[in-house]
Amino acid sequence: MAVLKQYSTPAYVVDFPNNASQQAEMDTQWSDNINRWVGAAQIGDIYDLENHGPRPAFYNPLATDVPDSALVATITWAAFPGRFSALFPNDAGQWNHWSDYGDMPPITTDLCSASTISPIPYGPTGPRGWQDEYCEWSVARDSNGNITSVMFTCENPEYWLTLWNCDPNAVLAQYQSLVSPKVTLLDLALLDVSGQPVIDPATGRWAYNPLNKWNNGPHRSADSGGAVHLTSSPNTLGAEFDLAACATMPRTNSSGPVKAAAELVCCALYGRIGRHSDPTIGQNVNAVVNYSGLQGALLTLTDPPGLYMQTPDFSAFQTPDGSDPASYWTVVRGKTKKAGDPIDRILHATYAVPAEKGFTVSDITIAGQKIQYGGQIVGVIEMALLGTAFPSGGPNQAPVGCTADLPEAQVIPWAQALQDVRVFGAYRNLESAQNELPMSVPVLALPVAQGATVGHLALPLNIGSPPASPDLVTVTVTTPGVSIAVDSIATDNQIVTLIVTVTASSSAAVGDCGIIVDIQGSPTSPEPAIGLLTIIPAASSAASAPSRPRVLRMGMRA
Amino acid sequence: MIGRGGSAAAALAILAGVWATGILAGRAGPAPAAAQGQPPCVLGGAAPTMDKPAPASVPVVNNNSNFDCMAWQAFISLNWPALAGQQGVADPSKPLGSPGPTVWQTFATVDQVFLANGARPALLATTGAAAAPRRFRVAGIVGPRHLRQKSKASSAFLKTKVPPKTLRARNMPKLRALAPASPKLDSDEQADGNVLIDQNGHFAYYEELLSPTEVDYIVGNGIYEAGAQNRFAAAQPISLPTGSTEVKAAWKILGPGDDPSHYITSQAYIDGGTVLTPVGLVGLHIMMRVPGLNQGVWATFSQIENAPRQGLAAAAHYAFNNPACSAKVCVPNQVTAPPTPTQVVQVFAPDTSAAAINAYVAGLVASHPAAGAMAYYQLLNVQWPTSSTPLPGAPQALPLPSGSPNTPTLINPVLETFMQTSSTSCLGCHAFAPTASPPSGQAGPFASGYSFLLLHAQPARAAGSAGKR
Repeated sequence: MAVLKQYSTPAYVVDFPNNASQQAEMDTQWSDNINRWVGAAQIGDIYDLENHGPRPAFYNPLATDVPDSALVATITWAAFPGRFSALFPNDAGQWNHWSDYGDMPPITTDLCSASTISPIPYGPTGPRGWQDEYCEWSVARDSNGNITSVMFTCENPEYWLTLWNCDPNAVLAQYQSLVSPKVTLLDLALLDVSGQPVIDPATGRWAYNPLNKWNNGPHRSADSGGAVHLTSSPNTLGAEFDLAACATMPRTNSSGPVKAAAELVCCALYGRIGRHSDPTIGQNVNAVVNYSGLQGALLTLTDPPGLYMQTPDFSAFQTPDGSDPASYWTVVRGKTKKAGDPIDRILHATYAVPAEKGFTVSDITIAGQKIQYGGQIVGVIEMALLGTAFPSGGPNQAPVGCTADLPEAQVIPWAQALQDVRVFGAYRNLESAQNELPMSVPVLALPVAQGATVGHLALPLNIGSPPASPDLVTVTVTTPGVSIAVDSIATDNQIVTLIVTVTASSSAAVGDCGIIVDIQGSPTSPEPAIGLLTIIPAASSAASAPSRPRVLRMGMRA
Repeated sequence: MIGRGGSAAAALAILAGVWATGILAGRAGPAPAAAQGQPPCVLGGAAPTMDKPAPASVPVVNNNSNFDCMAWQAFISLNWPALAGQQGVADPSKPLGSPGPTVWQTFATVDQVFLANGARPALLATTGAAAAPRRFRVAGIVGPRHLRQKSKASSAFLKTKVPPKTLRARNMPKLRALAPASPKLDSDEQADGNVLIDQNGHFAYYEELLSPTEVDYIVGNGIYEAGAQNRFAAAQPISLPTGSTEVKAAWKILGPGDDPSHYITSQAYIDGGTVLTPVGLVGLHIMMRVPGLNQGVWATFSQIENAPRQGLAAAAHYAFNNPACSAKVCVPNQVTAPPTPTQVVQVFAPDTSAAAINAYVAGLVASHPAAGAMAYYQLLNVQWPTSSTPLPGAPQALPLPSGSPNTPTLINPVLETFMQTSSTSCLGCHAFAPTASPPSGQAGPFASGYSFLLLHAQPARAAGSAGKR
């Protein structure tokens, strides 16, 4: 093996089969995105480096020569939401219903401390936020309420944002193929408060709405609904890189090394306790790196990075006509494993009975019980990802203590995104309207051409209270010839946002820039935020817009 | 003992058919050579060995394959020949499959721990001296099996104050509906109170046993008596210590059509009889308390000739299924009136990773001929908490946390024949395990640390009054 030349698309999917140059552009943008996420994940949480970084055991295969002897670890977890049983063990009879309808009761238990808390709304929120195991689904029913088809997806939203940047019509074509020929480009566009499409100055085209009506919620009809890609706020690939990198850090508390899955989540504050996915992924990564006997172990998510559905276990299914229940499962995007592959890499699949069969999905039984909910099928689906690890021979990382959310005064100001203010505002309004967490829609890194000046940009921060004046704020860019001027400060949707102007000289180096925000009276980050801004050649298309990771950390314990 | 001389290759053929092709090939015909290959447990998961009674340790990396390997090692070590005169200790000088009782067969039975009127067991606890020889009463343990003790869902459980909602939520309504009508609650009953009848018209029998570590905990804390148990649970959580192991075994009387070499075997007195009867192990549940996983590790094994898989072609012979009988005549997984055989169908396939490790272990038999019967057992699946969550303080209400188990379903077709439904599992059920019914006026019941066996504790009362609780 050698240094990886480029990250591959999820499951090696090709969405421009008849246009090699567009596919090459897509491949490049996608790989660049992952490269940024890996870079950011290696640094850790900039606002809390003491507890959250760096992560030297998480390597970037674009920069690391990986030996042929490297181990590939398969990490699997159940696709059905684990938090239902963790939070509501008395309500097993409701779990399948909740999984399809999302009408869970408030949370009254802190799983980290096993203590009762005042009721808080169930989270993750959003149109199908509770489907938070990197597998989401949408159910179509007939007029009798019988299920006619279930659509499953585990595709990360960042891929689709990138695809849109390359060619919105490619996204449209996929929607029309996957969901309905009725889908229009306007249906997929981000709208402003007046209902008009929002043009993204970075591309000169309509911005993409990842929560559009054809990729929204758990139900599907002829006129809306569908599961094209993931929408639940934790279900992003960028967040997965951050989690995996954070999990490489050995942890310790007063009782000694922290090794168990849930304890790691509660100690390191990555992911959410009770999910099947994050605790399992984190524990597996932590154990492989720190306790498997690999000296100076290094690990990363195996190319092509992704969180993949596995072929369901249909052994307990029975059809009314004796036909093979597996025959109604169709892999639409991605692929099943071939000889030598450790896992399936299924991205999108359906379970549907053709109308001419004379029965519906609901007439099929699982262990004698009719399928009333899509969640019953999800109950036999496993998810999987791969991690590649090898011993570097170097020193093992010293254990670090458990982390905690910092008091406001200790929080290091951190730039979280850089985006046109109108686009930024429209996304935040969308999130609010869809009951999503603020900043849950992944934000694409901003391309700025050499010699260009771009104003009216939003640079949201992670702090709770706005600085008294723009004069107290300095934004530094690590790339010579690139500067950011703070024009004003706004607080919208509870997000403190700097309104800035970016200027890139004609000689500014092409490539990614780091951004450091310094506010008088606050601590300054020793590391820049990366993945927010990239300089492109002056003659380059403005459509090049990679994304940066979403890092969710606050308030996730319950 | 483990039967000798069986055709391990034939067993491999069956396992390989299930694993590689999804088609049950049956046991007739020549078998392929054992291809052991690489164990599917890696990166901190210890491959099972038949070379020694190795401990079953929690894998460093928590994934299904590694827990499968742990479960298989537990099955092997629990079925290792026991050291003479001691309980729960393997004799490493004897190879796997040697005659004599196995490690788990020397565990204390429920009847020996939970005595009438809550009397202190005649078992000498050795708390704090784990390395010392066990000094438990051994009469009747190392000898034949006495297959007549009550199952975990026997009268004691049925008389507890488990809320009906709890039972409904756990898919257990039949437990209460059917059991009271049963003529007796003996070891021929499954968890739902029903009985399983083999193709020879004989009942399957069940027994439950506790490891010395668990017995030490129970005896040392006095929770073998119902009143003390509830007082204890009111003040502090019942928390079975690391090393506690419970097993529930399912046996069948070996008879026509059964090849003893395909079974882990024993001799048993049936229903209080005086005639020694050869019996074969057809299923085994294992619960292990382990460090770091508050909800424990659970596994279930079955003999591969018990019953066909749902939807797959059947072999020529099964112990609990007649392939020649139509589904209309022999309705699958329906209760039958004795001695009509139960037509058992295994609804759920072994977990994918379990199937892989089954094939690997079957391959080990080639170099361990005395352990040939091992090739006729399969791990169906394991259950472990992916989010092992801390337990609440005392008094603990039901249910206890399930810890987001890796699978919601874990069923053994000969231990829970009539409960083979989705989302029914060991952990899902045992999270609702209560303490024994407290004496009148005393608080309780509370959670019992995921063990239904503590339900067997009786209150300290005059002889003959226990049944009036």
